[in-house]
Amino acid sequence: MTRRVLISGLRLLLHLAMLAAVVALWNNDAPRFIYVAF
Amino acid sequence: MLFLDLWFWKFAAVAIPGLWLCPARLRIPWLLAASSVFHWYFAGPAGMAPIVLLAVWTYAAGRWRVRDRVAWFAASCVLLVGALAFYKYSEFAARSLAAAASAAGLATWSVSLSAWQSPAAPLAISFFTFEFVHYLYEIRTRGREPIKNPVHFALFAIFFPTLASGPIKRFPDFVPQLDWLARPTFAEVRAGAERVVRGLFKKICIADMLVPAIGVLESSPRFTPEVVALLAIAQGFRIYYDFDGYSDMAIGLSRMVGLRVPENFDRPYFSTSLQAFWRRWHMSLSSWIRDYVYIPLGGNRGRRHIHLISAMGLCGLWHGADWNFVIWGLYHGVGLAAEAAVRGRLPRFFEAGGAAAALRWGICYGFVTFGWLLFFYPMERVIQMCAEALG
Repeated sequence: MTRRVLISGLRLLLHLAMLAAVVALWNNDAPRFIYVAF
Repeated sequence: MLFLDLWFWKFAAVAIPGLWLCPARLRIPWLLAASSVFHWYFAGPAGMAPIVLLAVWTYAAGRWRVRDRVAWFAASCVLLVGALAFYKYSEFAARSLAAAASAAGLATWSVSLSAWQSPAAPLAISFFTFEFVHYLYEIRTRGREPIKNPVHFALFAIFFPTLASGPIKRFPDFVPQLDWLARPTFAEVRAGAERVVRGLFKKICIADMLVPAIGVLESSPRFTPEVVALLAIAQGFRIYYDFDGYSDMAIGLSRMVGLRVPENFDRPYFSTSLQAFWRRWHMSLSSWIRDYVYIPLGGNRGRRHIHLISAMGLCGLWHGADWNFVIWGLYHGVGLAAEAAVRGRLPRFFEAGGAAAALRWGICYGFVTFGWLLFFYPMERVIQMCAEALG
């Protein structure tokens, strides 16, 4: 039971982190500058 | 991509929870109304009208004519494929004929042909055509029962998660789910929402991240072998994460309203043969091409290589109205035919694991990755890149 709750919580956290990355990069041109600088 | 329009998320925030709150008898009408709003918003009346006409024709032909009368089946297929050809390919055909006429010294013909401009293609006409042809073919040749309920047929046609870019649905799998559309459970909604988030992540945080890198590689002052290889690899990952991300969103959104649609990708770059690659890449399209082009052409019987090359050439053309797509399709067709011939002579090589499997993976991945250059760039540009890289 505890293991299931832990896995479920971790999965939720992972998806929240992905969602945060999506929101941060939505229409964001920052990576373009990183590549050009590189 | 329509799912990246902010309007879509406002629409989804009303349409999906609205469905959960609907009483059972109103769920299908609600989904159809939501799908109509979606279609109207993105296609407009001019884009919606041809699709509605084709859908009405397909429904009526399937319901009352196609099963008993081959002429109606043939006429319906000609109408559907003709509409696709007119909207999507007529300008390309006119342009190609104009170039041929110009080469043959027929200047007047060339001028009049190159002046042809086709009207804007209705949103997702390629997907509609494939789903409608599949519907009529299944009724005619496999004796499937046509969809009697026009609301169910309409929802099969314009179901909003899959409307714009698939996955291409099969009606015997999709429509029975509408007979009793239960309210999705919390676990289903959660799984669907997670899939949508993963799809957004693949599209925005991986595929779109690769676009600037591809721009830098494309504007490289010199195409060394490393630059060409990196460009092909980057294009391969970009198109994969773009389309797989889109498919995840479509599948996840469908799941959030309690419906299952086909899968589209199954880790295709891990394939150890081209045949396996095409069973794992854009599966809803490749299985359509197999069932409704390759097998009717003769499939594995007779001139298999000709059937493979023709079917894959058509698959390439479906991706876009230009020669690079046709060349890409033919390239894969030739690759599949060659692989089938080698498989016939060296069956043990294709069954072995270990180093043989690693070698097969390398050959397959290299072949597919080089193919992306043919897909994304005109032939002259690919030749120039390769000549510079090898020269």
